Amino acid sequence: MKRLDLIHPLLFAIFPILFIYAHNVQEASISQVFMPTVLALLFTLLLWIIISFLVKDKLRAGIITTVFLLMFFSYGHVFDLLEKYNLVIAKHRYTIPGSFFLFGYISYALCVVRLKLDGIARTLTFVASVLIIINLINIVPQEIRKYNVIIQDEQEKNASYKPDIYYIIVDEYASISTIKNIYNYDNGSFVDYLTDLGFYISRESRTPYPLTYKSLASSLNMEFIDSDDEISTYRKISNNKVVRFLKSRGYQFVYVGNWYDRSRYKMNADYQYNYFLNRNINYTDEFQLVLMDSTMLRPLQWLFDFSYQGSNNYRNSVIYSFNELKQIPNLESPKFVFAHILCPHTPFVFDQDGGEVDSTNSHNWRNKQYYLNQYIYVTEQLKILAGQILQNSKESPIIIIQSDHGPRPTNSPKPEQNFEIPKDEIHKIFNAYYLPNMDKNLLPENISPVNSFRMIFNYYFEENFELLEAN
Amino acid sequence: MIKKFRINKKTAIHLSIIIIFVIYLFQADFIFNKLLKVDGESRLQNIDLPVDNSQVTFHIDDIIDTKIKWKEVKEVCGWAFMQNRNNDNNRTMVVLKSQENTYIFDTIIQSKPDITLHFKETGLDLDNSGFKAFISKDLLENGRYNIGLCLIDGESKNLTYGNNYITKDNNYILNRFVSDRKVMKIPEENSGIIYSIDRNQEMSDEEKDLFEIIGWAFIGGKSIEDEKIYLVLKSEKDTYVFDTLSQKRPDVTAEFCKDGLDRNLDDSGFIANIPKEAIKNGRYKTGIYIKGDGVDCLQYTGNELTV
Repeated sequence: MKRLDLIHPLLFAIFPILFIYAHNVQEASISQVFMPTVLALLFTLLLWIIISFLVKDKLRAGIITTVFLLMFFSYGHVFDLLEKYNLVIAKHRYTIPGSFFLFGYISYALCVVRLKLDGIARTLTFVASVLIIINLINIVPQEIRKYNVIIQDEQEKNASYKPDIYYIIVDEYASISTIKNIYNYDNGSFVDYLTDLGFYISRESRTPYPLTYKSLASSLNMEFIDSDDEISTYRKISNNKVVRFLKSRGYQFVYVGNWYDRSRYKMNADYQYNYFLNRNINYTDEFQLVLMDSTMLRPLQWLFDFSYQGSNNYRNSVIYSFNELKQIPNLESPKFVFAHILCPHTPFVFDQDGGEVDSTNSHNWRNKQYYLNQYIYVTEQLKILAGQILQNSKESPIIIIQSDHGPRPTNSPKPEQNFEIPKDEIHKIFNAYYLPNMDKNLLPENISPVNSFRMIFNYYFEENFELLEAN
Repeated sequence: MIKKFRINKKTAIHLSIIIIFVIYLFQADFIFNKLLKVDGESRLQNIDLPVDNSQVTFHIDDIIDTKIKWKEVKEVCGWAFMQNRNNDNNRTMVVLKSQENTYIFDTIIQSKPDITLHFKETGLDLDNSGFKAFISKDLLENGRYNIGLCLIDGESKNLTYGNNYITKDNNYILNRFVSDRKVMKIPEENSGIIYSIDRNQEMSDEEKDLFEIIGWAFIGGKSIEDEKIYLVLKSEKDTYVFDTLSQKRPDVTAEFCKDGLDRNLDDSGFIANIPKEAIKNGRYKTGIYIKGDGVDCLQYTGNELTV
């Protein structure tokens, strides 16, 4: 019996994590695999030691441990199957004790029945190795594609006028007409406020993309995105043309991010502000929640209330982004500041005064008040922010306040909390520009986000980007 | 020599484990549904219900699936008040009534100054008319439940059922009336029914496939008052009869009484949600069957369903 044949429990501890990662490789980051893998290995080792102590046989204990791991990690999938067929036993109160009962008797059988254990161990190790290799074959090329981002710096060019540029994306912020048509709310006071400050509001702007990653990739690369491949689109965000252009003109890049970008793309920023990165908080991310959902920990998920979408984390991250943005004018100029604020995107955690929202309504689109309240809260924060950026900037900056897409009131996991709106409303966006010295009469009412930076670079950096025709 | 049956120690341990496990399985629902409560969950009330006297004005704003800690609950929220009474000292109960079971749950008061404003002509203080109940899903037996509101103010108890239903089928609770199959003798087709099928569509709710059929029907020349409308599905081999939920259709009365005829067709509306799983595969023609005191009328509509 080779020692290597004994390692199947460790392999079976790693395999389910790799399996879930392989199925989410486009949206998750390999760094998210690290913690669950370490915990799974530690747990497996501990279990193996305890069972070895009880049965006084390492080989047997290893097989029993593997049986437990198989049951532990397949629990969620089996439960889903029982639920799908609407079986009465599809309740954790039956399935968890049932699993332990079954595990107990399988373990007992393994202890009393004479079996060729070394043969079983060898087979298990072989099977686990094959499963891991199959998943690695899927993961490795995708990882290479992800990390093969060459940050192409262009040769530095001189330009005399280098205003700070703020590109503030408010995720899912409805256009002036959508908030009026669908939510019966007149946001005219915000328009008036920005106009008084000197902003131009492009009232008829639309994005071709109702998805954040495509919308951002398009506007930051000043081109339309045809590909549906998520990895290549995320790479376009990581290595975008706007940042490359501005860096070549001596700009510093400041990025204000959120949980969404942590696993999807990497910004090569000189200064990075991210609540989930900078505040050293413990939280369960998307990958960990999906993994937990497939295991015996599923019934205990309510204990992990500190998820990335938990009310406190979400609220704090949005407030953090606005607070940091207010301080950024003090950083050395010239700088390009890109902020992606995940609000008024779900979960709904703010009422219009910034108060908390009952968590049962965190995705309640059907009661329009929840989105509207969060929208009003963000609007007030944007007002304060715009005023402070202008007040604290030594030279007049360029500011773009834009939404990536309109509200999509169909993304609640509870269908009864959703409602349909005309498709066009999802494509309509809020789009406001503060463009010092530019004649606003030259600006059209329907500036497409794909042209935002083409227009700015043409005017302030004397470039000749052709304005693209948006459909 | 006859051997005495003896259980050895090992067998006794196994038997004990198995017996304890089986006892647990039988008691699990009692433990989790009745013994283990979570904060905020509505408690079952043990009170004598009055008869429906339509003295409660109420509205169910929303029925949402949610969780309190580990418990899956239905959040039922809305507002209710007793006619001609302020809502100062009321206790509001949500009543769920099926053919077999009735459950009464307490509620949490919600502030609703907008209701006082809306009913300002009554002069009542209805600020506390809002309510929320968090009803454990597992507590309910399978069945179709009509939702009612029971308001208690001192000695005065009033109960009113509305047109809201939830239907439980094992792990699923649908926020709708799901039609029950009825075993009944139907007459030969005659053509005395005036009807309209406004909607006839396949839909899915909580992963359950349903046929939703909405319309109105009445027997020509008669009011529709105590009659019940059923939906009949007939294929070459099988015939099914399903009950429907009555809907108010004053527009039908308005349309068919233009000529001054004194008929009340307000209750001519109906909704049927027929679970696909309740019907064998086949092609069915749909019929409307109206049954009442001295009334027994069936007419096929020309609409078809294919399962």
